[in-house]
Amino acid sequence: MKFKTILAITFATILLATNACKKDESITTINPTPTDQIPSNYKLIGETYILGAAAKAKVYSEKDLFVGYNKIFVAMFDSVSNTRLTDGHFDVIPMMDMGMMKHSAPVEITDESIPSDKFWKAAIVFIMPSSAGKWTLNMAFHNHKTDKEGEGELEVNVINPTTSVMKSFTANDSTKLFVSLIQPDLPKIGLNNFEISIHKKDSFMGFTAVDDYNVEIVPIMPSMGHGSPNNVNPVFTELGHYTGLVNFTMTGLWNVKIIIKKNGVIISDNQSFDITL
Amino acid sequence: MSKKNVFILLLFFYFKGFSQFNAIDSANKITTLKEVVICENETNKTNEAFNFYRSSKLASTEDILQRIEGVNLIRRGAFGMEPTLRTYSAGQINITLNGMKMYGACTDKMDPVTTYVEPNNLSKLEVNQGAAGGLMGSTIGGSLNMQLKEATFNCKDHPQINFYTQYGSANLSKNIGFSLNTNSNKLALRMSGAYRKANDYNAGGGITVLHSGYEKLNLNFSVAYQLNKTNHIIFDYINDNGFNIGYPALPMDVAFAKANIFSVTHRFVAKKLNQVLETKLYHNNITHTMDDTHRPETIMHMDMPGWSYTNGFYSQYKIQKKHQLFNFRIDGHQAFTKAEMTMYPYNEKPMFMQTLPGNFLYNIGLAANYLLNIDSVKCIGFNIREDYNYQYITDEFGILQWQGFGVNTNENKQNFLTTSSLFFQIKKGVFTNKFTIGYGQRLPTGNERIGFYLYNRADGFDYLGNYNLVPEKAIQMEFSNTIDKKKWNLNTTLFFHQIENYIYGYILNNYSPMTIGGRGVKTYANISNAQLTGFETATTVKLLKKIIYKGNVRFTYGLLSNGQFMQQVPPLKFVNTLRYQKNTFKFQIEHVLASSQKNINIDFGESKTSSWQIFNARVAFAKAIKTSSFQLNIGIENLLDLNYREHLDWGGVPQFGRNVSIGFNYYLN
Repeated sequence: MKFKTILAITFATILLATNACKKDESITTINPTPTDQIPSNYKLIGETYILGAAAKAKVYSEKDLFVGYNKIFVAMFDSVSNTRLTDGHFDVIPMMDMGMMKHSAPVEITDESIPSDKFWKAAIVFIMPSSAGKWTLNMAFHNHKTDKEGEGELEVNVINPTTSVMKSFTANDSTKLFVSLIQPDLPKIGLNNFEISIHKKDSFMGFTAVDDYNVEIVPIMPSMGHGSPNNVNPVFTELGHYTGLVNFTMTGLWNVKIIIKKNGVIISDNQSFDITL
Repeated sequence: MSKKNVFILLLFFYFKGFSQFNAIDSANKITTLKEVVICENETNKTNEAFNFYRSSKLASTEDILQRIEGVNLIRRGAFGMEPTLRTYSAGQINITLNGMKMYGACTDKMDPVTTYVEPNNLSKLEVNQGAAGGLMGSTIGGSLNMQLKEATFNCKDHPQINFYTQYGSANLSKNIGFSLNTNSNKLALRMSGAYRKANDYNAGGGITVLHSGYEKLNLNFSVAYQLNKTNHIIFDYINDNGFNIGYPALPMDVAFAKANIFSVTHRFVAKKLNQVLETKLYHNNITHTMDDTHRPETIMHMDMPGWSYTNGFYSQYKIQKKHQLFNFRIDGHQAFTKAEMTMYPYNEKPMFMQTLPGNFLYNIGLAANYLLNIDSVKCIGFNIREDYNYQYITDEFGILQWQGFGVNTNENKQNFLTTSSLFFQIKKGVFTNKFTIGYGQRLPTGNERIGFYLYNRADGFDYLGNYNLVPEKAIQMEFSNTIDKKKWNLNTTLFFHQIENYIYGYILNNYSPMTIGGRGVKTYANISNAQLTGFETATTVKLLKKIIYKGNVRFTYGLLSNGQFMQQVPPLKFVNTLRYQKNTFKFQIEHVLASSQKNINIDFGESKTSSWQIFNARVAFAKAIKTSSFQLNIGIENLLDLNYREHLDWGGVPQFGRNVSIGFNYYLN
């Protein structure tokens, strides 16, 4: 985990240092972009050149970036021929510049050099909206086609969703935690997969996925005060993800309470997610 | 009608023992409310006022049912009482209307199908207890068939008209209605209408029972066409509209309940071998909407509509050869039922669920019934019915709801059911003995299989269905003895039922109720067995020439294999009637006594009921002028204005206090 923190800081420093002087290298000849391989539900968040790697990154997501757990899909193009790149290594560091200070956010990188659908994937837990400062995605790419490496920076806009899907709080053991609701994304009546991710803050630049907690969920309908049976408490799967099942017996507003235990001791029991179906 | 005829009519009514001398007649315990108009029975009308079992015309179908032996009513208000046969209720009994199946649209049983019929349209009620009631549908509890009046052919050249109006003091109830029958050689038409409106009623001691008023309009059309001497086509239509019906024992009332009942019947009647072949196609639908807007205790407004659509047919053939009677029946129906709930929290998205996921039930059944008079003293009867049922949920929403409970309702349910009974009857001098054995099965109801958080006010629990319930089955034994003397008669029936796979509600721990204030969640399970035993006794004594005493006692005792008493079992009930009749003047005094009920089912949330006794009095007077006749009825029920509740009255809601009813009838025959 420490390694990752160091890596993040190093990357950030390099990216910040190298950014300014490489802008004039922009290539102006842009060929028509092949869009046939972009799934229709992907929304273009932005694009930027990966300077030094002879590549251009187009960043997609399924919806506008929001405070919470976001999946991003990155398509790389040869910056000269504009052909799709299929082989390379990708990394991303989100960075929040609040003027007085900078900090990062929890990131998951799917480490694939040749992604089958030609998208490099990452997930970012944005922990505050862009209204607090400036979010950038600082991306690094090793283009295996040219064997060149480089970085690129993309400013993104992160909104605060109407219903909160990420809780940041300090647990009873003073750990600063970020709990993100991943599923259900489109809740339906009956059983729904219930998935959260839990990250803890080690430093401004370092976040760790927590894999040794026990999580319990208690769904209730606040306006009626009843719960539902047959829920399955989320259990750790990987990368700080905990997956279970939640049973919504009727439509309307549900409140799913999250109880987090560490070594059998409750460290948080006052966080919950509102889910409306 | 002569006195003797009245006597016979009354006996039919009260006293099944009387008819048991003739096995053919005893096949069905027929309760004749009023003879159908036929040419040779013109005096019938004038005597009808003296139908003391219809406490007054104000009486609903339920009031009449209540007076039939072995019938009790579960009461949730002044309207929509649910009939039970020796404690069997709902899916355990088979209620039909002219032989048609119909399913109430309310998941809270606010609308047993008996509510969609008005007494002025009833020609008779056929009650069969236990598996003997299996001709029209598989059952363990018995059957109740409401036979409706239809357009009749007669030799009169003017229409027959009846008009009536009634008033009741306890709930300022008004009841007006009419019927009209007219015919030509080929075509006969009958129309009738009934309108009732009642305010909240006063219980004994003058306490007003809030939310007990109701309003209802019932229209009935019947057209009969005579194809030839032996073939008739009859079209019947009933439209019933209830509005603002209060259910004081439930947390909600009914905004409206609309029923449409259609049928087309072909009837072939041949004098030779007394043959009747009747084939009917039918459709009925009900829309039922509950209403909580009049309840101050409503925390959150909710809509709870329910629907029921049934299509079906039957074909029944009867043939009689000397001492043998054979009945054969094939029937089938398709029923769709569905109920929903939407709650409206403040400033939030409405909350919705299907309390009864939309579902289809397909049924086809074959039944046969055979009676034989072996000789002048012995007779034997046998009936058998086989049913095939196929049930499935159609609504994706409901399927998902149930998937949340790990129940795969994509899998349909199929059940074969058998109902059968055999009796042997022997007459020796003034004694007639009848032994009956029976075996019955019944399908779990929609509520029991797929009901979703249905609140039961009786125990305060939300009920979840159990998709894997298996049919209840019962082995039944009955012995009946009748002594018939010139001055008196006495009939006693003893019965014992062993019910297997008895469907029973038990508590699901760690489930939170959906209903605000609910006590928990229950589901149904087949428990190993239950026993039901009891007796019914009725007697008629001719005290003096003009004075007749009638009495009946009924008692039922039910025990479950889990050591609990069966729920909703009425206590010992004793009805004494003394009546005086001189020509067209009749006077009757009635005494009803019920013992306390301490054999209660705690699981069902029952509480003990104290004993009570009430007195009723009735006077009827009739006068005929040429073809017209007038009748005046005055009745006082609960003379002493006692505040009491019967054991099957839900929610501790007391019964009517003193009620003076006045009725007027006009007939043009």
